[in-house]
Amino acid sequence: MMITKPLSLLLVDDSRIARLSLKRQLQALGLEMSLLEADSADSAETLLQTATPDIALIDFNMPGRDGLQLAEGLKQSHPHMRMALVTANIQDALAKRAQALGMAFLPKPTTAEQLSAFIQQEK
Amino acid sequence: MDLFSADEHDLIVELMNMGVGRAAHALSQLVNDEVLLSVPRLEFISVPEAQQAFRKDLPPFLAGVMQDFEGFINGRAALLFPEARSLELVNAMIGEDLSADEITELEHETLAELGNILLNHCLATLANQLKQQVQTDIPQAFSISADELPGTLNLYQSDSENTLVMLVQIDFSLRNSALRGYLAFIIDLRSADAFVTALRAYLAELL
Repeated sequence: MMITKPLSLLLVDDSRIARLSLKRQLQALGLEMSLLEADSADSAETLLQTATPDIALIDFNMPGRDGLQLAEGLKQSHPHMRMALVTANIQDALAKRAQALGMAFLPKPTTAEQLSAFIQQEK
Repeated sequence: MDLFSADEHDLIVELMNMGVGRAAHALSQLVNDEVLLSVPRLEFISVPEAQQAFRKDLPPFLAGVMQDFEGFINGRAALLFPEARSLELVNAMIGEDLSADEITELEHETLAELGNILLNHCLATLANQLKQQVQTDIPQAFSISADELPGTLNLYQSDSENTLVMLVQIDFSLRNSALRGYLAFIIDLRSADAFVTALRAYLAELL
């Protein structure tokens, strides 16, 4: 019998409201998943010392290190974790930098369809 | 004011229209309502004149978000609401199952995230169209009186008399509620060379 474990997602955003919005959309997808939250690049790295989520949804514009700086490090330390940059900064140049790091680019506000499509790719 | 030609002036208005259109689409998704926009009003004025414009046009108490930006354009963008209606907006965005106390507690954070989304959509669209880049700072939410707004938004207090700003004002409202808001972009024209060059390159391809 094959046992599938729930998907584990890490949300990194300095805005509690942005994390709340994302959580609601993710929960509405009806998938079995566990959610971890971090409000900065530093706190995300601390969390990732003991957890290995399947997916990280990372804001770009945060105090301290931005989302791309965080992703650069995570690409080395967590090469199997899929990452998306979730940002209202929809500049083409930023999208290209995210894609160069192997990240998906999800404009804020996200839609359930976009989140679902990104998460389903993992399966 | 001769810094921009008539075509360049028109192009700025059109680009702001596109940017605000993208922002309105985002706001519409967030509040599940149609967003109605005014045509952007574009003025090239001094800081004191901008202060007067704010005093004249805005309600006495405001809730808002401001965000600094720099790159091919430098300045400060602001999203403003009459303070009495800002809780309505928060409620529309996140309030379905929250208590009044929780909504009040989350007001500033919600406004900051809303400002982050709307202001970034405008600025990023402007940058994308002109094939330029702009960096935005962390959004800051505030509640103040209209009299305090000029101080809050004043970019260059040490040299306000000699600073020319491009003030772009856009009114927006929601079709199914009485909520109205106001977007302002204050762009420092002391370092407008890159902006002018980008506008001319865009027009050269177009014309």
